[in-house]
Amino acid sequence: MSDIKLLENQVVQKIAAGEVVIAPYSVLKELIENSIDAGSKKINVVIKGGGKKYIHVEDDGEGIDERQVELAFTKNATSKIENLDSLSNISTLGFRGEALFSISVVSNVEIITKTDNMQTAIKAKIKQGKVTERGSIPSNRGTKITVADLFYNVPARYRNMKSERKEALSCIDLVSKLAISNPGISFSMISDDKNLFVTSGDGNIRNTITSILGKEYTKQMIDVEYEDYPVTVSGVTLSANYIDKQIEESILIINGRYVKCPAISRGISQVYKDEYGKFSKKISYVLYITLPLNMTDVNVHPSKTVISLRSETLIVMLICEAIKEALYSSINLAEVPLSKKDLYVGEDEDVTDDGNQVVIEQVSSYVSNEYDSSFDKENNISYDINGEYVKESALKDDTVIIDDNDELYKEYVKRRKEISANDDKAEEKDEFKKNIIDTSIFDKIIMMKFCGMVFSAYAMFEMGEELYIIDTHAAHERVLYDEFLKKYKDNKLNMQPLLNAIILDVSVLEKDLCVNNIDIFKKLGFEIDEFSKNSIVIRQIPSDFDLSSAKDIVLSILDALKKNIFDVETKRDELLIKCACHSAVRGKDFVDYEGVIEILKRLKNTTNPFTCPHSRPTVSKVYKKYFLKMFKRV
Amino acid sequence: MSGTLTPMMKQYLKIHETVPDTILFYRLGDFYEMFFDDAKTASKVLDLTLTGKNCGLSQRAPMCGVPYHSANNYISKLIEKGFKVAICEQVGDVKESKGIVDREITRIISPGTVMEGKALSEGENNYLMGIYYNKVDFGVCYTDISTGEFNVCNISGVNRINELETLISKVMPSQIIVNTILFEDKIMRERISNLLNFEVEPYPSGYFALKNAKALIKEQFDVYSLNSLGIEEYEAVIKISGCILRYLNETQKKSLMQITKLNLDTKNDVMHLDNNTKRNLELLYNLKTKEKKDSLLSVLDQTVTAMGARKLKKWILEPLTNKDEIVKRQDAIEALLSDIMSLEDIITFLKDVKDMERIMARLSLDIGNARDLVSLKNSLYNIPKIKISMSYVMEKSELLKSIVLDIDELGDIYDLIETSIDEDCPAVLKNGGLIKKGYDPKIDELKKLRDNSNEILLQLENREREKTGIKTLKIKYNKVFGYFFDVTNSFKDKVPDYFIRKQTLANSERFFTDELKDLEINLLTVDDKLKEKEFEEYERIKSEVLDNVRRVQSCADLLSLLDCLCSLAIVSRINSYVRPEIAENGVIDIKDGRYPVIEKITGSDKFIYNDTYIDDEDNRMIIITGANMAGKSTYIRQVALIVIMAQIGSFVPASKAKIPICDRVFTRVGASDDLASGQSTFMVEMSEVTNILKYATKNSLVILDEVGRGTSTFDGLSIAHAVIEYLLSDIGAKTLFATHYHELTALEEEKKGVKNYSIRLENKMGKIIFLRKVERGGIDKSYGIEVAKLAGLPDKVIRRSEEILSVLEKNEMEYKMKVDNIQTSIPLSFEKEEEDVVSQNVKNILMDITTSPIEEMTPVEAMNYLNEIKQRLKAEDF
Repeated sequence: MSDIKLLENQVVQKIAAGEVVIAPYSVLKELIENSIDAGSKKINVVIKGGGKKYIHVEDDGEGIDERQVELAFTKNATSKIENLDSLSNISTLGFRGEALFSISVVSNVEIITKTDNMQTAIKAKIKQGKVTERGSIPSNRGTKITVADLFYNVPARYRNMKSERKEALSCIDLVSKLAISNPGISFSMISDDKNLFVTSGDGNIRNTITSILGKEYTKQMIDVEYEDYPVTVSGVTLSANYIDKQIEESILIINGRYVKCPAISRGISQVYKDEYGKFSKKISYVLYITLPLNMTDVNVHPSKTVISLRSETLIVMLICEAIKEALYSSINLAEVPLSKKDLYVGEDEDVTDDGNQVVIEQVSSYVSNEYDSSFDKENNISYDINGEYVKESALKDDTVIIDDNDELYKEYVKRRKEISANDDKAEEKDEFKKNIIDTSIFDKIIMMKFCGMVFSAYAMFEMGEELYIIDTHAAHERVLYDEFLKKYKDNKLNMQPLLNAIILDVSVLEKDLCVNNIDIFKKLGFEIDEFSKNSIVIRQIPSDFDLSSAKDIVLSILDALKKNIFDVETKRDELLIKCACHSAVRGKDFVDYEGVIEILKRLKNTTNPFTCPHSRPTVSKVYKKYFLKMFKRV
Repeated sequence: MSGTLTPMMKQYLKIHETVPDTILFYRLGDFYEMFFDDAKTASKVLDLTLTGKNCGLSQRAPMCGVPYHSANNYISKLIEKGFKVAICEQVGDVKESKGIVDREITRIISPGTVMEGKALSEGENNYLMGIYYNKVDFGVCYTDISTGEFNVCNISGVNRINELETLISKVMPSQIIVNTILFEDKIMRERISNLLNFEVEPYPSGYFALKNAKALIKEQFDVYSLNSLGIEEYEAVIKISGCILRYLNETQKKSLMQITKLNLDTKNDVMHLDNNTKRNLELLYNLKTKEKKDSLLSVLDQTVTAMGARKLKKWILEPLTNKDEIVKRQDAIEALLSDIMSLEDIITFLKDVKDMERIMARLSLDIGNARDLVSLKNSLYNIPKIKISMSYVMEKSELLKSIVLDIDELGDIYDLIETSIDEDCPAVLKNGGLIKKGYDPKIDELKKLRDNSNEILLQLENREREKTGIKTLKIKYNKVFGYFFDVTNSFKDKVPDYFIRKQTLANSERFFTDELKDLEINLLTVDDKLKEKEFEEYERIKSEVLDNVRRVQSCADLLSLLDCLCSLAIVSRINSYVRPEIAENGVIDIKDGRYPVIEKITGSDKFIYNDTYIDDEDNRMIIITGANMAGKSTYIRQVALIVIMAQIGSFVPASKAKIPICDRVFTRVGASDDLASGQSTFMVEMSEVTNILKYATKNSLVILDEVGRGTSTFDGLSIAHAVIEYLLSDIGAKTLFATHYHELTALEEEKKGVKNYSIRLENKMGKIIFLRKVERGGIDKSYGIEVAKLAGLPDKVIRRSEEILSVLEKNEMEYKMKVDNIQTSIPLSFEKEEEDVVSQNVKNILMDITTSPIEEMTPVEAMNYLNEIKQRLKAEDF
C-alpha cells in the first residue's frame, strides 16, 4: 500500500473545479447567471464546437470595476452574499463564489468589462485565477467573457466530454431554458456561426416562448393566470384540444429559476388525467411560479436545478388548481372568426382550428350521439336497459355546450372524475405499452363473443366487463400493407393482367408524371402506359388488390408523386405502398363474422397490429363501467 | 441587283420599314428570325450563329433566329444593351391562307416597356418617363406598365431644374421621352443624360397635341373631365401624359387595363432627400459596388412578396413628414410585435402571395397564360387566414384595422378561377388542358367524345388481338407516330397483310392499319376542337378577371403595405430597435444610438453606442473634432440615418429616441472626384454646399463632413467658418459638422447655439486605441501622424513629420501671440466692418513715397525710383 500524501494545491483546485464545471453547458450556466445578476437587459451567447472550443457570453449589465477584476476570479469571492444568513434569502442566481475561479482553472479565459464609471473597458486574460495580461479597449457598458479550450489541461475531463453535437444540444437547451425563465431579458444565441434564436426581452411570455419553442408550440397552449397565497402562477399550459397531438416540452420556473420538481409535474399530469382520461404524450406547459423566498431551497444540488419545497403538498395543490382553472376558462372562450366564409377548409385541414370542437368530440366519445337501445338482443347484454333515453339533449347538439350549459359541463366533469377514480392507476399508465408487446390479445378477441358490426366498419367483441372495438378498415390496411411490403421487398409481387384495360383521364402534367415514373409503377406492380396526350392506360395491377379499387390506387399514387414529399428512395416506395393500401380498403366493407375473424388472424401476425400504416389505432377498449355511468347507474 | 425578292422577304422589309430603329423578331414557324443588319447585330450581342437564307437576291440574306418559347431571355438581353425589339407574329390562319400568312407587329419592346426576363427584376419598378418642357414648366409623367403605376408631376419655379434632377434620380427611369424643345436644349439634355447612362428620345410635336392628349387621358382613366384627376390646369402635364399614352398604345398594341389610376405627385408630404444624400447615406445601394448589399434597404428589407419589396423601396425614398401618418405605421409595428406568433403566421401566409400586380399587367398585355391565373388564385387563398391572424393583433393599430376592413378578399375571382382553370394547366395556351372538368358542359362533352375514342381504340385493340391471335398486341402512342400497334418479335410471323409496318425496334415492330388511322384522325379532329374551345373559354375567363383589375390592384396594394409593416417589425425584433417618440419641440435626443448597417457587419457588440442631442436653440450646431478614422463620419451619418428611419415609421437602433420631423436631410460627405464631368474634388464639394445653403430650411437636418477639405488650409477654414455662421444665423437648420479645423471650436464661446463634441483617441505607450465615444468638448489634436503610423508610413517619415509638426505648432503659437499683440484679431462675425488689412510692406512703401525727394530727381532717376517701387509692390498680393 502506498503512503498517504497531501495533494498538491493545483490538483485540489482542478478536482474541486470539476464539481462545478462539468461540461460546456455548466460554464454557460454560471456565466449567464452572472449576467442576469448584473442586471443585464441583453445577453448574447456564442458557442463554437458545442462549447468545447469556444464559449462567449456578453451582456450590458453593470460590469466589473477595473480594480475588482482580480478579486472576481479569486476562489470563494462573490458579490452575492455576505454571510450564512443571506443563504436562506437568496435572490440572486449565483452565490457560491466558485464559478469564475473554477472556470479559469480549467480553460483560457478572457474578459472585457466596463462599468459606467470607467472611460474604457478593461481587457484581461485569466489563468488559474490570476490575471496574466491587462489592457484597455473601447467598449460599451457590460461584460464580455470568452472561455476557450475547456479542459485543455485536464485530459480526463476533456475526453469525458461528449461529442460536439451532443454538447451543443445541452448548451442550446440550457440557454433556451434560461431565456424562457427570463422573458424580460433579450437573449440571442449563435452556434457555429448559425443564428439559433433571438428573444425580444419585452416581458411577453407568449412572444418569448414563440421565439424559442416556435409558433406551433405556442398555438397549442392556453394562458394560465392564478394567485393564491403563497403561490402565484402565470404562463401557459396545454390546451385540451391538443392532447396527444402536442409538441412535448414542459418547463417549470420557480422564482425566476428553471427547476425540476417531480411532484409538480406529477400533479399537473394528474389534473389532465382527471379531466380528460388517458393520454400517451407528456403534458406540455411553461409555468412561472413565485413563492416566498424562504419556502424554497436551491442549495440541494451544485447545479441548482433540483429544488426542495417547504409545504410541498400545498404548493402542488395550488398549482394544480391554477391549471384546472385555466382549462375551465379556455372552454368558455368563444372565438369568432372574422369572415363569414371562414377558412377554405381543404380535406386535410384540421378542423380543430375552430377552438373547442375536439373537446366536444371528446365529450361525444363518452356519450353516443344517436342512442340506439336496440342492441342485438340475442347476444345477452348483461345489464339492464330500462328503455329510458338519457336526457342528453344538450350534449347531442354539439354547439350548445359552449354557450349555455356551463353547469352541465361542470357536472359532467365531476362524473368523469368518478369514473376514472375507480380505475387501476398502474394499468392506465402502461396500457398502451403493454399492448404493443402483447399480441395475444388478438387470440383472446377471436375467442370473444362477437356482438356485431356498426357503421359497416367497426366490429364489436365482448368479454366480461370489457368491450373491444376493431376498426376493420384500419386492420385491413395494416394487413394489406404488411403483406404487400413483404412481397415487394422479396421481389415476389404478383401482377394480374386486366382483361379490360382501364383508361384513366389525367391532365397533361399528370400524364407526363406517369410516363416519367413508369418504372416506379412497375416496381409497385402496376403496368401503366401513355395512352394519349391526356390519358393513361392501366394494364396490370398487383394481385393483392381489387379491380374496383385499381383506379383509386393509381390516382392516389399519382397524387403522392405530385406532392413529391420523398427524400429517400426506400421511404418513397413505402409511402406509395401506404397510399395504395389506403385506397384499397376504402369502400371495402366487411359485413360478416368470418371476414372479421379472417382479418384478425392476419392482423395478429403483422409487424404492428395495433396501428394502421398511418398510425391510427386498430383496436380500442371500453369498460362496462362507462356504460353504467352513461346511464347513471353508478 | 439581280433576282427579285421572295414574297416573304418583301413582307419582311415592308414591315421593318414601319419600325426602323428596332430589331425585328419575325415569326417563322417555331422561331423568331432576324435578317440583314438585325441578324448581324443580334448574332454578336446574343452570341448566336449567323446563317443565311435564300431571299431571291443573288446573295443570301444574313439570318439568325431564336426558338419561340425561349425568346424572353434574348429579348431581355437586347433590351439591356439598349436596343429596341419589335415582335412580328403570324396573325392569319396558317391552314387557310393562300400564299404567305398575314403578319403584324404585335408589340414593340423598349427599355421602359420591357416585361420579360432579367431586364425586369422582381423587387424593383421599371419606369418609362416622359418630360415636356415649354421653357416655363416641366410636365413629367412616369409609368411602370408592369405594375400599372402612372404618376404625373408639374415642376415649375426658379428651382425647377434642380427639382427635375432630383425627381429623375429618385425614379431612375430606364427610358425617357422628351419634346423637341427640351431635346434641343443641349445643357438640359446633358444634365439629364449625366444622371442616367442613356440619351433621351425626342418625339415630334404631334405627340403632344393638347386635344388628343385630353381625349386619350379621359379614355384611359374613364373620366368625364380632367378636373376629377386634378390636372385640368397643368397643360404641360396633360401634354406629356397624352404623349406617353399614345406611345404605349402604339407600341403595346393592346389596351392597357392595368393602368387604372393617375397619381399626381404633390411632393408636399414627404421628406426631401437629394441625390447626394441618397448616395452618401447608402440608402438603396452601397457606395462601392452600387449593389443592394450593405445599404439601409438591405437591413430593412425582409419582405416576402415582390410587391412589398417595391413598396419598401419607395418608403425609404419618401420618408413621411406627417406625424399622424408616422405614428400610424409605428402603432402597426408595435401591434405586430406584441404577438410574435401571429406575426410569424401572417408572414407565412404572405409568402404564398405572388406578384399580383405584374400578373394583371401580363394578362392585360396578352403575354400571360393560364398559369398566371392559377398563381393569382393561389395568392388569394390565404387572405382570409391573414385576416384572422391580423384580428388578434389589430386592436391597437388603426392602420392594421383599416387593412382588415378594406381588403377585398376577391372571393368571386378565387371561385371563378378555382372552378374553371385546371390546377395542372400547362404554360402554353393553345394545347388544351386548361379547363377543369365540370365547368363547361360543351368542353366536357368534347372530352367525353375524345374518351369514347379511347374506348373505341381499346375495343379495336381487343378485336385485333383476337383476330390475329397475337396475345401481346398493344396499341401504343407517341408524339412522332401517333397511334400504332406494337407487336413483340415472338409474334412477328402472325402479322396479317393489312398491317402496314411503320417502325422496327430491337424487341418489337410497329404497324398501323387504315382503321387505326381513321380513328386517329377522328380523335385529332375532336382534339383540335377541344383545344380551340378551351382557349376561347380561357380568354373569356381572363377578360372577366381583367374587368376586376382595380379591385385586384387595391388588394395587392394593401397586401404590400402589410408586407412592409411586417418586414419593419421583424427587422426591429432581430436587431433590437426601439420605437422613437416623434417630438413636437424639434429636439433630436438619441440614447445609445448605433449605425444600422455597420452594426450588422461588425456585430452589434463591437459597435460603440453614442448619444446625440440637437435642438433648435442652444444645441443646433454640433461641431465634432477628432482624429481621422475616429468615427466622426460614422457618427454624423448615423444621426441622419436614424432620423430618416424614424420618419419612415420604422423603429430605430437606440435604447431610447426622440426624433422631430425634418423636412429635408442634406449630406456633404466624402471626397469624390467627378473627373468625368471635369470637376475637381473641391468644385464638387462647393457645388454641394451651394445646394445645401440654397435649399435648407430651419426644419432641415444638415450633415457636413470636412467641408473645406479640397483646398488650402486657410481657405478651407475660412469657408467652413463662414458656412457655419450662415447656417447658424441665416438658415437655422440643425447641423452636424465634422471637421479637422480645431480653430472652429472657438465658436462655442462666441456664438449661441454651437456646441463642441469630440471623439478621442487614447495613446497608451505608443499604441493607439480608438475610443469611438463622442464626448462634450473640443479637441485640439488631430492625431494625423499617429493614424498615418497605423497605415504603415515608414518610421523615418513619421519621425520627420513629428519634428516638422512641433515646429509648425510652435510657429502657430508664436504667430498667434504676435497677432494678439498687434490686435489684428481674425474677425469672427459678419457684423463687423471688413477692415482692409494693409501689410507692413505697403505701409513702408507709402511712407517712402511720401518722404522721398522727387523734386530733386532727374527724370532717369525718377523712372528708376518708380521701377523700384513697382518691384517692391510686386511682392504684394492684390
